[in-house]
Amino acid sequence: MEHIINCKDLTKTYRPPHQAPVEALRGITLQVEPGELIAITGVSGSGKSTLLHIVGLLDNQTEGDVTLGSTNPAKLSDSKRAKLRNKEIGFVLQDFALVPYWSAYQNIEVPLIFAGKKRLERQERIGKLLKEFGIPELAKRRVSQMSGGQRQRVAIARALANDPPLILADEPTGALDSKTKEEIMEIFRDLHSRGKTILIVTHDPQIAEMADRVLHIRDGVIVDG
Amino acid sequence: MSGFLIFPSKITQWASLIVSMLAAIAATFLLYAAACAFQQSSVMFRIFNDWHLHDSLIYSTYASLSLSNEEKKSELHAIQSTPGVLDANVVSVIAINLPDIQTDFSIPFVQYSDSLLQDIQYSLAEGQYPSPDQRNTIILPYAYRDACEVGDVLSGNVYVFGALSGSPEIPVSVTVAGFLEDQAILEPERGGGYLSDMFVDHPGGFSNQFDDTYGVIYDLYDNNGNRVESTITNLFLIRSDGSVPVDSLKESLETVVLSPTYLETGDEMIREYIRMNTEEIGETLALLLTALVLSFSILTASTLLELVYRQKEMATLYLVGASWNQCLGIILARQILPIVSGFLLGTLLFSLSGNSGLFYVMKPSMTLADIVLVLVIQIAFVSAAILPFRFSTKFKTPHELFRKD
Repeated sequence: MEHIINCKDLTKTYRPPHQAPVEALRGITLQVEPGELIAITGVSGSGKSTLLHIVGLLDNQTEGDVTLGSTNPAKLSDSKRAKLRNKEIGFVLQDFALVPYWSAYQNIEVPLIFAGKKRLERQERIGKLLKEFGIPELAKRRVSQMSGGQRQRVAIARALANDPPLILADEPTGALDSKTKEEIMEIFRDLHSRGKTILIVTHDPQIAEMADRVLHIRDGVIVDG
Repeated sequence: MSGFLIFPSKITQWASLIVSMLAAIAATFLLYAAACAFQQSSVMFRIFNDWHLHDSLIYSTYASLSLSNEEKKSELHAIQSTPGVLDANVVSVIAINLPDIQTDFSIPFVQYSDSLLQDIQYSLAEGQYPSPDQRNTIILPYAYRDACEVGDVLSGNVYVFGALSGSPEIPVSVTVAGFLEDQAILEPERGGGYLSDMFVDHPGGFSNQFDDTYGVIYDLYDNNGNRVESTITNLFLIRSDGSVPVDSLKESLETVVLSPTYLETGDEMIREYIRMNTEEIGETLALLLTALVLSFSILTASTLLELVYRQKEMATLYLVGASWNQCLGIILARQILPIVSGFLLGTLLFSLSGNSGLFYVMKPSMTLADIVLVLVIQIAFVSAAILPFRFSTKFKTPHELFRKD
């Protein structure tokens, strides 16, 4: 079976001005099967988020190769990488990355707009997602007026707007209380059971427990998993 | 593209839009003022260039000598015979009373048959120059453009300088061939001396709207078919043939003319003009520089603020599948609205300010070229604010806004 993610000898070096270079990733090799749920753990600054950003086409590696399915994103223009990100990847971040002055409906609509979906199609899809995540009454409410759990549901609904096969989550429960965390974990379990490939960066052992595989990163290297 | 991506979603964003629009109005106004000041301060230099006056000498006989037409002709002949002179012309004037359009005084016309003036084609606001064989055709000053129309035949009589009252009048009829544009017109009777005194409508902004400006005429014949003699003024325009340096030609001519202290080369006049107007030219340059710096600051600051303020929004759009160019396009689409409306309002305000008395020295005016220039400058300034963001992905990627460590 073709790997959905294939990383080979991935390195990433940040070169901040007037400071010594920082090696965030040092030769990461990783294959992810479709439908896998992988937890990436490690202390702050170990390189977990950097790996997620490179796999999510938000950042470029310094050396090495990343392929998503059969596509090598390094050879693509910025607009083609954006299309790939739009259709194949959904992001769920700790700070939600929602536009606070837009409504839940508008935030979920944005990826559909960039995917070129027609208005009616968008309306139908957003309605379905809001219902699925139990927040239809929040459609017109501004994100700034929502609780953390509600925001994270909106963020997950947005991540699934174009029904991407790959979900990348960076500390998705980091800003939530324990009850809400449980609810969000349940959503991820459900997505996993529906065959989505999920990479979750986390410090939380509970989330790590539900993963098929746990990768532990230390100083930019996978030391376990 | 959905409206919410472009239009503001909250009051503070509308407020920022209004501030941007006010900034664009101010920038537009400043740039027009600068363009206008530059145009008006440089008009003398441009005329001097266009009429090739650098190679010429300008001379006027001391007015108190009160020379007759014959004496002036004799002086002209002496000048023309000097080695190194290509041609020399005395600017002559005919003044006509035309009660159909002006009841208070006669209108002076420069006689256009002088060869030097044939090189100096004033721009026309309307109509066209008659051919030299068309008798009794006139081109009226700009001020009379509403008083009659091209093709109208006007009756009047020639005003004779120095004639005793009760002298027989010389009746004439003339056909209007066109109207001069509002521009600097050679004013022959004031003579040389200061460059700006040679012209009506100089950088001080005194406009041809004044009634005592000059028209242009070819040969004039009275109603009995007799050629009307023009009055020779004191202004002599002398062209060098280039065989001797202009300064040497001046030295030769000083031994020929009656008032050598009133003989100047074109370059001397322009130097004197700069010396006399140093303060004004300096002020214009300062205004130009200030306007450019201020409008650059205003436009780039308002665009940069918008980009910085919405950086997180841009990163979010990038995250969900917009390219960096699309992100910038969405942010700028909102910025275009206040800039375009500010530009239009600024243009309107500046054009209205002409009648407001806001400007004492400068005469606010704008041509299509000014409008295009101001628009291009504004686009350039806004682009200058965008460029760092356009290329920022080269050294800083949008995802860094989501970094936790």
